[in-house]
Amino acid sequence: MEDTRRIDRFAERLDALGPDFARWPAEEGAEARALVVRSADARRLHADALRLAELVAEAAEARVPNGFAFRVVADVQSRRSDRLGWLLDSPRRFALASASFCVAALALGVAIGAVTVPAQADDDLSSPLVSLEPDI
Amino acid sequence: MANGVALRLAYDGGAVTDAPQTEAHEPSEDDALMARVAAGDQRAFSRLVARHGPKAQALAHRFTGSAAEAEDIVQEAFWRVWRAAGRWQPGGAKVSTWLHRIVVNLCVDRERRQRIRRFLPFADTFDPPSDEPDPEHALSDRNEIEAVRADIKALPARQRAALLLSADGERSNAEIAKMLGASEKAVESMLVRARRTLRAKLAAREEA
Repeated sequence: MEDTRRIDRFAERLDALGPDFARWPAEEGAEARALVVRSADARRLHADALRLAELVAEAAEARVPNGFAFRVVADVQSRRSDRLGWLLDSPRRFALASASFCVAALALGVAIGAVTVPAQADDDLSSPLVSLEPDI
Repeated sequence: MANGVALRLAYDGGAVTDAPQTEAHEPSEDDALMARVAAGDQRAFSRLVARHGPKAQALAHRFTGSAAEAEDIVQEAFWRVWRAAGRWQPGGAKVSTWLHRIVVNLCVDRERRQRIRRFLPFADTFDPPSDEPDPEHALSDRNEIEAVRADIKALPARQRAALLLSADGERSNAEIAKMLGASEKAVESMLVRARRTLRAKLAAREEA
């Protein structure tokens, strides 16, 4: 019973961590190696996991198309020039973008002005205006 | 299969977080390249594409089943890298983790859009052809690898992404979790389900 539970647990950990015990947490890896040495079931599970890992590794490989890196770099270059070109191609578009920027900057300025506390309070007696009052 | 919303990876308050993550590591060659890319250095960008493009392309190809679609996805991913290079922080996330995260998100988004399009009239007209044979066809060809590719393509998106990211044995489950925006436990669970499905299909083919 204990062995069956151990094998079931081993099978689950094999699927979670893969068949390379070097990539397992050290203690778990050592236990797994020991189990594989003494249990035929564990050896069979490990062999199955190795085979599946090899198949998946091979299936995950993909040939890189010719000129791939060149096309990726060219795509980025073209997108950069597209953006700038889009703006510079039309004086109206450029003016609209500039106007939008100015409006946004103005709105930001008004918003900041609205939420900022005035530096000088009305009842500030140290104000120079107070000293300008005529003495009675 | 999970619904479209659940398929979306790496949510952050409703928006996909393709932004660079914060995961401490030593500044690397990639960090130096990113700094040069941020300054507009196209040679550095080319080097970055040469270093990480092939793996990103392979991942997208095996996820989508189409080399042409994969190239579109990788081009979009590198465009995002170029635009965000100025926000890159050396010593933070690994460039490869970030890039693969973008690629997986784009793959999942594309698949979700295709699934929605299938409900539209004349949708088949616009579906790009897949390079993958269906399992029956692959079987008739007696090509085991092609059959496994078709089995992988049939997996739910998150399981497929986790399995493909683990396939070369170079990434830990913790790294894959960062790429998918999931917990390590969730990645283990995805891998268990994916491998069990593939093993069952493999066994069924061998019995047939």
